[in-house]
Amino acid sequence: MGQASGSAGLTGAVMVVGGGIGGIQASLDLADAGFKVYLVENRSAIGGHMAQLDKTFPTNDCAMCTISPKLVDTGRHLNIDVITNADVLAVEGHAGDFRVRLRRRPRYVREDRCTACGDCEKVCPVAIPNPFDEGLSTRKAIHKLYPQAVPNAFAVEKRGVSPCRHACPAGQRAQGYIAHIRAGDYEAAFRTIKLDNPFPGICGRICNHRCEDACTRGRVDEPLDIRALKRFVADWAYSRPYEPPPPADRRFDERVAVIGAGPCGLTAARDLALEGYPVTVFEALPVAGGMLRVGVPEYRLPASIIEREVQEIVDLGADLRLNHPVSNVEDLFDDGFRAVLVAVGAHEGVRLPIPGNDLPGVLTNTSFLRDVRLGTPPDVGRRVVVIGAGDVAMDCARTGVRLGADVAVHYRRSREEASAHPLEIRHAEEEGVAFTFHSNPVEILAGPDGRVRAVRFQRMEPGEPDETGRRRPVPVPGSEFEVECDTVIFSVGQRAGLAFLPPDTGVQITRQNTVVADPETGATARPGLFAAGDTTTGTAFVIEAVASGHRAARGIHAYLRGEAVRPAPKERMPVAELSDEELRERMTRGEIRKGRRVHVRTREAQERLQGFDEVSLGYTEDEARKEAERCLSCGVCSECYSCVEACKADAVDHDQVEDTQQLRVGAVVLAPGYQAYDARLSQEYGLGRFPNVVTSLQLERMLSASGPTRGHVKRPGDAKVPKKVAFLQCVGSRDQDHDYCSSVCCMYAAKEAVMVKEHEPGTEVAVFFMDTRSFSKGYDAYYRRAREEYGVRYERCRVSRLVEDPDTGDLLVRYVRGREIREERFDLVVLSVGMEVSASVRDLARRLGIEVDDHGFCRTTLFKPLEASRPGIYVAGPFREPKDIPETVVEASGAASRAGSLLAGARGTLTREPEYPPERDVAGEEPQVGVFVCHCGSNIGGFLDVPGVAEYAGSLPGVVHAEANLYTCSQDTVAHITETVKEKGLNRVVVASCSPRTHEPLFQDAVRAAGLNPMLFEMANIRNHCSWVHGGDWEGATRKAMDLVRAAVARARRLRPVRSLRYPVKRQALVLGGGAAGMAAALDLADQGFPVHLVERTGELGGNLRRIRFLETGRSPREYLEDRVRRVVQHPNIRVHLEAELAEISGFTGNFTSRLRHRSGDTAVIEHGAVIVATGAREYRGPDLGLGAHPDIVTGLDFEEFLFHKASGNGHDLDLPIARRSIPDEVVMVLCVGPAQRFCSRTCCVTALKNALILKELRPQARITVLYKDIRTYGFKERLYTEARRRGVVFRRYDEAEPPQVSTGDGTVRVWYRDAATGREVSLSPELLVLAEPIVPHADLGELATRLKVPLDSDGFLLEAHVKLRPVDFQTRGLYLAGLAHYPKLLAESVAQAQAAAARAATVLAKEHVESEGVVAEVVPERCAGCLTCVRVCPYDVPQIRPDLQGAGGIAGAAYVEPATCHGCGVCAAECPAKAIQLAHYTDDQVAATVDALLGADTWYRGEGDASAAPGGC
Amino acid sequence: MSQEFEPRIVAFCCHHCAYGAADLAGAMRLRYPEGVRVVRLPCTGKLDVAHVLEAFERGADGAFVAG
Repeated sequence: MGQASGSAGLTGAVMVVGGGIGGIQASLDLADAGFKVYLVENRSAIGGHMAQLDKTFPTNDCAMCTISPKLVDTGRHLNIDVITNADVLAVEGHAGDFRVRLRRRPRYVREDRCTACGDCEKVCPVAIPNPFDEGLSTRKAIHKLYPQAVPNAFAVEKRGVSPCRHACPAGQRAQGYIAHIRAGDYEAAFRTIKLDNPFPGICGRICNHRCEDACTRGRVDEPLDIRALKRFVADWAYSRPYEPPPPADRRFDERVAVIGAGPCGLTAARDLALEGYPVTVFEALPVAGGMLRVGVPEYRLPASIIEREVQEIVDLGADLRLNHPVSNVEDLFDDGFRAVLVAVGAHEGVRLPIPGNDLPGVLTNTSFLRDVRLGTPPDVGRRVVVIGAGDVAMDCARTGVRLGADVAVHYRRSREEASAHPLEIRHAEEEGVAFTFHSNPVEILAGPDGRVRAVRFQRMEPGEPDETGRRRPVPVPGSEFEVECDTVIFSVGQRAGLAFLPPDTGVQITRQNTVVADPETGATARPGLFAAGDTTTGTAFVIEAVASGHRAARGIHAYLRGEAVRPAPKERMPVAELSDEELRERMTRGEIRKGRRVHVRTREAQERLQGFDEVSLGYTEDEARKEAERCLSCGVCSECYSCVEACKADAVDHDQVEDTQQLRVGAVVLAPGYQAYDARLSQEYGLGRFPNVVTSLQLERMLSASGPTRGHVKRPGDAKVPKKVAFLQCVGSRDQDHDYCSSVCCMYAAKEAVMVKEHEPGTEVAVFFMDTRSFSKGYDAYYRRAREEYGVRYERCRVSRLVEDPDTGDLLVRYVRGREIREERFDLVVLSVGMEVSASVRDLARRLGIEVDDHGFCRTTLFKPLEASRPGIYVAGPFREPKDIPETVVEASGAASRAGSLLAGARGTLTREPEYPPERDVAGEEPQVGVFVCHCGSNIGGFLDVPGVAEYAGSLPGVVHAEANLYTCSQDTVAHITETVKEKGLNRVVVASCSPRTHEPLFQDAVRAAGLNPMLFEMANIRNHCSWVHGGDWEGATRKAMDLVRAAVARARRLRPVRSLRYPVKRQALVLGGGAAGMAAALDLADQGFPVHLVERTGELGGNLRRIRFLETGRSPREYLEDRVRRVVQHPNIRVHLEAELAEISGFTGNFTSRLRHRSGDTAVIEHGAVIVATGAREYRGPDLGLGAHPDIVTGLDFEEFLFHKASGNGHDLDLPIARRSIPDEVVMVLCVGPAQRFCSRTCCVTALKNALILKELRPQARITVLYKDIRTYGFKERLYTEARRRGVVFRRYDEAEPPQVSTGDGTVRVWYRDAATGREVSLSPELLVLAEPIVPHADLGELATRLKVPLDSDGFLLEAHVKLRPVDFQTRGLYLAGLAHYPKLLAESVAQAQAAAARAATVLAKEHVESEGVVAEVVPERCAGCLTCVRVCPYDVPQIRPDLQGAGGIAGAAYVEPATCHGCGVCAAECPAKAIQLAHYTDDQVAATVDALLGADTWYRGEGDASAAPGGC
Repeated sequence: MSQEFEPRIVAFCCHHCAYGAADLAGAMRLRYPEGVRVVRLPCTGKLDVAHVLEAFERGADGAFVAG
């Protein structure tokens, strides 16, 4: 792919790695800001963990409902390529210009064709544990990750070729037909077998089954009896009446001759017939089947089976000529055959070169067996000697027994070396055959009648090993002996009879009398002459003959078509080998239980001797299914091809192979997410052993309405609804192996606890925890609600182990409350698992050469929180540090901003804009509606009468065209819609198929491509709302589909074009607040090339950052501050307004006008496209706990300042009452002061511990007591807590209900608290009392908010548009927020959020125009009475009464709705008492027409139109 | 056939939430009587009382507003 580069060698594309919510956000921001995005996801769909969640805290929004629109936007974005099933292999090059090498694993389903109808899934026989449901349900090998998945396409999980298939010369899909047997679908099993083998009945009996040797099950206990399973399927199929297949279509004229109707020849004949060639098979014998028919005895392979399988090939169209020996192959060419296949087998027995080998009564194996099989058995007399111990020798011996003779087998080597199958030898012995090993014939002796009388043998013993390593038998001198007999049968090999090949054909023949041919194609030296099977290899097994026949057929086809006879080798899929570890794991999980194979019953030996009845009895259905259950499904997908057959869109492609791809990008954003800790490793909790212990993610799936239990919480052990549930916190966090806190578990546990109670009121829920870390906006309130409103019990204790009551499956939890040890019984225990970095992400980091810590988390610095150690690679989300969704989204936007800053020079160089033809004016035209009704494979067509609906649609008024399509969304049908609109002059289009939520944009594009306004389109959802929910009610569903189509047509007729509005964007930004956040936002936007006005109301930049003296990492914040200020002041794109404030703002996104007021009274007017509010907050300094009452009571910031001055030795500069005091020895710190009892101020714990450690550094003997209710050192901040305890800082917990008190009555500071652990009252007299004051909003933030028309939350901070997914946006477009004005946060978090705000603002500023959707409210001023109803009801504050408009009755002032800011919800239109407001595209007449048409026809009237069906009437 | 009462219900659904829920009900192959018909609105805030009354006038037995 050719790629243009931007200025300075920058590539205007970004690769985003990880398709979770972080990757999605980064992609959308980048693409909207003018960069091409490649979003790389290693699974088959994007969505990440968030798609798995049920609800999200703290709003209890449905996770899927909130993420789903983002999924759709990402999937449809013109400038985002979603690359699934892919891994990043390497990133070469440098920041601005990278080359990324990707590995794309095959999906096996073509995304461009798959319509996600799900027909494939229904027929797939392989069910595996569903990882999306955390193993609580099963899914098929062909699957969609989840119903709303994007891309909306299926995928096949295939690990490779199963070992059984790989081992089979003919590539039989054993795993496939076994899967069908397991599912009870024998017809599908039969079809699967026949894909590769025309002889299931034959191979099910006599195959040497290499598959079984390769079977992975053999490593557990015994391999499956695959052969018996195959036979079961064949017997099942042949037990029903034979239905001849339809003759194959003739596509070619070249005639092909096959010599020999054995398995090889017949296989080739069948393949060629199916390919479309006229094929003639010449067979010398009077029967078909070759060696199978005349070499294998009836008791092993009944002739009826062979006849049945041959008949099918004949019925397909192969011309079989029996009794038709070919004497000269050249005659066939002369007769017009264009190709000839020699597949005559090896029917000539071999005699050992010893005296007497041709005496009367000396037979060869082949001739003996043939005569018996053809019904002319020779008289063998009473005693038969068989020489040789191969399988054919056993056939001879056992046939001899059945002819009534005593049979002795002689073999020159040992029993172990005999090539016959041990079972054959055993059966022969059971039937009375005598074996003599180490016995070699030296002469056959004649009797007086000239016939055989006896054989002289010689004893042998193993000698020296020969070149093959086998020990060559050597005679034992003087050991000769004679064995009397009437018949001798040589069974020491056989070979082909090739008399029909004249020497002048040029065909080479080996010393073993085999034909030399290409093993891949069967081609010989004579053009057109092919050879295959035993003829070319010497005797082999039937399955090899079949394989050889297939290859020869392909060779002949290629030859006749003039293609390269030897095709280029295809890339092979790997063999799916299960590792020992995996097997062990599956055994531990109970998926595999050791046992034995189901043995096939055989006839008793006595019964067998009565004749030639089949010895093996085969499996019964029960036995077969039981045996099939043992299959381990090594390859996952079994390649049974049922999906291929079921897919009407022809989308399944099992031949896809892995490939690598290289892409050029300027930057990389890593958002690979986390993996949940594998709690099975914490064996003390019994996950995996105790069925009623689940992980939090499993519970999440249970709670989800679309999950495995449809939203009902059930115990996995017995499906009982639990009455008592326990949550154990910190599983895989804050332990020996994890020195960090996972940050999210406390909140999700609170949420899940609440949800459990909502689903099953009355359930008792207890949470066992150490500290509750509810440190973000609204989290503390949520936690309190869980406790107080929902009655979730919190027990502060880490549980060390669980015990299961084996009788009930209940779990016993032991814990400590106060000083008491308690034991409590729970029905269900939920482990709140923490976050880890997966091994594959660690590998990725290694390949990319970026630094990670010991746990694999990406290392970043405090000042550049979103930058990996390698320039040009940015990082977001839990890969950096465990975090929740909003912070991940913030970081993702921030990372997008960083990448945007790097690549600003190449913005827009690689992106595309959609192009459409000019719009046709349809005003004045009568509605000409076209209706397209979709079958959706069988998804709609299988449940209602689609052609009937289409016909009905054609009869509706205004409809000029109606048709039914197999898949309306397939590429060709979409193009066809465009064509039809043009051809038939349609001006309205209705598609009756699935949901407009997923497909409307696709069809709107189609009509737009035909020159219609996209709003002249309407959908009728006859799948999700009809066929899928009314299965089994054909009549009802059809009737309803007609109603829905009628309503859609009625609406379509009234649709009017809706024009979107375009305004030019004022491409500069206004940033309010010159602190750390404001400066970071300004710099990022300026670096991206946008002019910025940075407004700061004080006289200097820096804000609260000026008061921070130490950082928890030990680095100096001063350096950073000075660097930032310098960069801001010097940046050509930034204009700083000090001592200025926003006085007034008007306009809308992309188009604002603001007035700034300088302290001097001067004003400045600024035109800008976006606003970032970063006005900060302040330290609370209320009178709580004696602040101000005594000089030794200080705030956290004062204390930090004090420490800084003491550390730097110039304490006297300090402007604080404590300036003169020395470093104290006795300090008490109190956490959660004042307002922090209401909301968590997030930073206080970290700041207090940081300063405690600095004090310890300055004065190691200092005694520091921290009074707290919860220590909230989330993420890696946990290490501070650990370090503080290690350094001897004393932590004392007080109860929330009884906060500490301070008295200064006698001039000393006294702190009183009740120790929560002991219950005792304690009084302390510290030298210094440090109050960790919370961060609170500026007093005048409310005024600013009113000016900006943005809301505040209940604690007085700015309120974002959506706590979870729009954390830096305001509800009003074009306005963004960052920093402390949003909520208390640490420095790095402020910086990241500011960068995120910059990214969001850049999506507006990057565009030349801002486009409003057009679906907006419009006021008809003449009808407006100016009643203000609209002004009051609008959730977005859009309508205003404009005095310059004339209202009803000519009064001055009417409502006006600015289309650029209107969200199109229509509330004003619905509420307007004068009906002066209409919402475009949902006008009253359009909605009314829909409702009217839906109800207004006969079809929905019960019984009407069919009065006879309702005798008696009402 | 007995004349069991099968109500005709018009469901006014918000495009952004309840309509999606109805889609999901289909994807999960849940069952509900065919007498339920969904009308999509950009927001249930757009639902004018007049439309509900119209539905009743035209013979609906119930109206279901979901959003």
